[in-house]
Amino acid sequence: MSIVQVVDKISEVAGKLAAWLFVLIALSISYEVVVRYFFNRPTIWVDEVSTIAQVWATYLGAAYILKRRKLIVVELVFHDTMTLTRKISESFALLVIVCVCLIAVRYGYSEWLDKTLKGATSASFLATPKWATLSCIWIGFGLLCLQSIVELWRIWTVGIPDSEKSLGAH
Amino acid sequence: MEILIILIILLGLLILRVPVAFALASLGIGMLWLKDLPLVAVPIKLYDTMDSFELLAIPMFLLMSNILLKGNVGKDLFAAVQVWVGHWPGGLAVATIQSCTLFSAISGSSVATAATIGTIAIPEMEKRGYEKPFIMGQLAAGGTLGILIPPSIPLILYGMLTEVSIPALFLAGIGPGLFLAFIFIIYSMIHAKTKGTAQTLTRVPLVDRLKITLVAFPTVFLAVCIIGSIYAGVATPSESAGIGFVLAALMTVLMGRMNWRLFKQAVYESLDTTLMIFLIIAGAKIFSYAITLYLIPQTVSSFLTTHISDPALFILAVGIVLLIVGFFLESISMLLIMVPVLYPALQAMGIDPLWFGIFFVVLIETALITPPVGLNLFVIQAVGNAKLEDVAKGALPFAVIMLGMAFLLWFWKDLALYIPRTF
Amino acid sequence: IRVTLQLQESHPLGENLKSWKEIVERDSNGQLKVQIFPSAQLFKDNFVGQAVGAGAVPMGTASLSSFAGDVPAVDFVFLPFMMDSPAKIEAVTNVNSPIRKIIDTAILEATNNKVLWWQSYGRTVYLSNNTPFRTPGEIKGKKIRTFGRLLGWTVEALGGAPTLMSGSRQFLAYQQGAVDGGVTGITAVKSRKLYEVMDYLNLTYDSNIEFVAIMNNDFFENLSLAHQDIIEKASLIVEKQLRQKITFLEESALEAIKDEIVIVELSDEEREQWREATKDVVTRFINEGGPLAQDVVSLLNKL
Ligand code: NA
Ligand code: NA
Repeated sequence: MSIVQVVDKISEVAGKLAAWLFVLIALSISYEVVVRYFFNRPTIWVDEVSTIAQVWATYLGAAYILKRRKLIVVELVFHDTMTLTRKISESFALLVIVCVCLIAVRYGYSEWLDKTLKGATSASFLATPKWATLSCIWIGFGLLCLQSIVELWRIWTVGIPDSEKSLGAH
Repeated sequence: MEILIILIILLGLLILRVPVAFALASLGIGMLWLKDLPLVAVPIKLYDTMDSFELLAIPMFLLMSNILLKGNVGKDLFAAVQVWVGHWPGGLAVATIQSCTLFSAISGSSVATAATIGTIAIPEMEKRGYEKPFIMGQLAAGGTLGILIPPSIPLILYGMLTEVSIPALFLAGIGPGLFLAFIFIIYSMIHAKTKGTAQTLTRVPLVDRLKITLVAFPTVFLAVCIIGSIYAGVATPSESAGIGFVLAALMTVLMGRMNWRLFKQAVYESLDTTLMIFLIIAGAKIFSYAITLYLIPQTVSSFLTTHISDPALFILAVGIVLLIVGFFLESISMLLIMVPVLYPALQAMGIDPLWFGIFFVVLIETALITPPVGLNLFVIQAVGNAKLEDVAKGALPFAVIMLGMAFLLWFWKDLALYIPRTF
Repeated sequence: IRVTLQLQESHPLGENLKSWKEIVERDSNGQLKVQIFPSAQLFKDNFVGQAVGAGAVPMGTASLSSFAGDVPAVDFVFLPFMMDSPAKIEAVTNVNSPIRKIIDTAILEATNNKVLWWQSYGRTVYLSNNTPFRTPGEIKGKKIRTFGRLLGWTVEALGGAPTLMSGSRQFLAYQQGAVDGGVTGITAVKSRKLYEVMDYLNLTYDSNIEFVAIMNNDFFENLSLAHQDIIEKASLIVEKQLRQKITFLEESALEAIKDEIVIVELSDEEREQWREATKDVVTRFINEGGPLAQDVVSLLNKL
């Protein structure tokens, strides 16, 4: 497998993981409501675990969304994917994404490292370690950065792929 | 001047096809960097934004509605509303607005309302020959009822910021919410009459109406579970959405309409819509963090209060500012930034904060359907596989109606205030 | 100096920050400028410590309990009935108290935040629907909203089921009956209009809520000595102001809502039952909080 295929694969796995995380959240929320309402025993973990899962799913899935061209773009000009201007504007957009990612990774990593070394936890019942929660920023944006570079490479070799239509929609 | 430059750069980035989320984020980061403000705020802000239980309502409602869509169940509910009003001119459009209104009583978020009803109603209306921009605009606008008709996430936040009673705010939202839905219905009927491209359905005999309504019983049961669980105090809106998803999945399986392949599709498609919205919210938060540190909202507000002393003129000016701000800001950011800066001025002018809350939410609704940054436009674009400009074009008349509504609220304050004063 | 404030400017804690700003600006002849960003516009409460410590903003105010992840011992303020008189509260929270020195140092080491002053938010009370909470027996099996780890342990010790909820979420939870009762600050009952949705206000006064004003330590160290001095003096002044005002604020809050909600005073015997039921919380606090928590408790016991 080439590097491009590896990155594509990782993004896809991360994206699917993110999708199932949301299902897991739905299940734990429902569990919480049932045990709280019918058995009067609210859990101490559902709120915290589900918001952590939400943050993870959001940033973990970002690269997958980019790969599938699902990010929302204002479509005013350069509709034709074959033109040079479109390729240039697309590359510019990807470079902007790379820059944002680099900032998020650079500062997200140093924050994570600092909190990890100090052994910080959340202030809640669970005392979730910060290394497990804060790492989603640099991992998610790192992956998005790699995927952007891959897309950049794709534009000038294969061409601009169409936005994948949602499977089976209409 | 600074403000103008920032807006021009944002527009430029958007036109150059930088995804909305990253146009906002990069501009915010650039602004921080330019004034030497610490960029370490970026990852903290990114985490802070998504660390919210309230936001969970969005993916949960999207999961539920995708399951209902794949299981062909949402259609039953829509069909049930439709048999009662489908034979009116623009009957399907009327049914769509009514479904939005009904769903608004479940959901506290515009985006979830637009996404849920949109997935069901868009294919139906397309089949019946409604114009695509009209369909998209109507759903984007109909979805905004979700935050005016209680429960409402923005009204909760407004109550927190201003110490206005939240139940009173909820009650105050009912009148304008229903009135706005009514105007939308009138407009839809007029539109259908004048355009004439839409098919009117044949009138259904009462027995059949009841039958079709009965077919929708499982769906109605689901809706009752969701609404009921919120009002009976069993669950918060995010939680009831999560239960809604589980129940919807069980229900479609029992009805033999769900299999593993469809379930997986529903799950992956929910991720697409969820993330495109969440990433924009994250970008918008970084952008609003930067403009707050640039003191832009504060400057605008103090300019207003020092130059205007008449309450009516003040509200007019605030309305215009919010309209302009609403082009560029995501609704929750708009509320969090503008309410604290405007609120002191309100008190000085003797304007009723309860009334202002509703006025503000109507303008937030408008902001949700005005380009370039309008979450409901994005949602409908995603759900309906449409072009953003089509959705925006179709939403324009509705945005004008909402502005008219904001205007009307000033002259007819009782529309909002009658219900909370009486009950 | 940019400051992130979690409450509205008109809230007593916001007013407190404003008087700090006035003193600092006046004494430095305008060389130090303070810009307040109210209502958590910049960061949510849980992220203020991280944001200020990392230098994203130089200064902020946050609840002391939001540091429980970095310094578990900060939760000592919630230890049930340990600081049950104004004199004890004063002894613990005054700037020279040994407990406060331990805590402030620990926060500085763990988060790079210099604690400038403590802001008193007042004492905790229990809200309930349908029945008052006079004795622990009435809490048994009920769902109770709390806002800190240790308060949850207290509720568990009382036989209730604790759920953690932010200040802004509690209103809906009470209104919709998602919980049967809740722990909250006495002034919040008025400011968050909780009396609209709950029937009884039980004056348990079991613990004490503290906020802290923090400054990024590197930022502080880089100020001139004269400016550091101005900041420290101003902090001392406004801390005392609020501490003296808080009893009055609590009383006026009670006065303002007394027709809207039933206020339940506990008798000495009743409070003794609460104290008895919750005494194991201290052990749990020491077990989970380590040597620092042990030190704090032994200092508390000397009072
Ligand atoms: Na609603
Ligand atoms: Na907009």
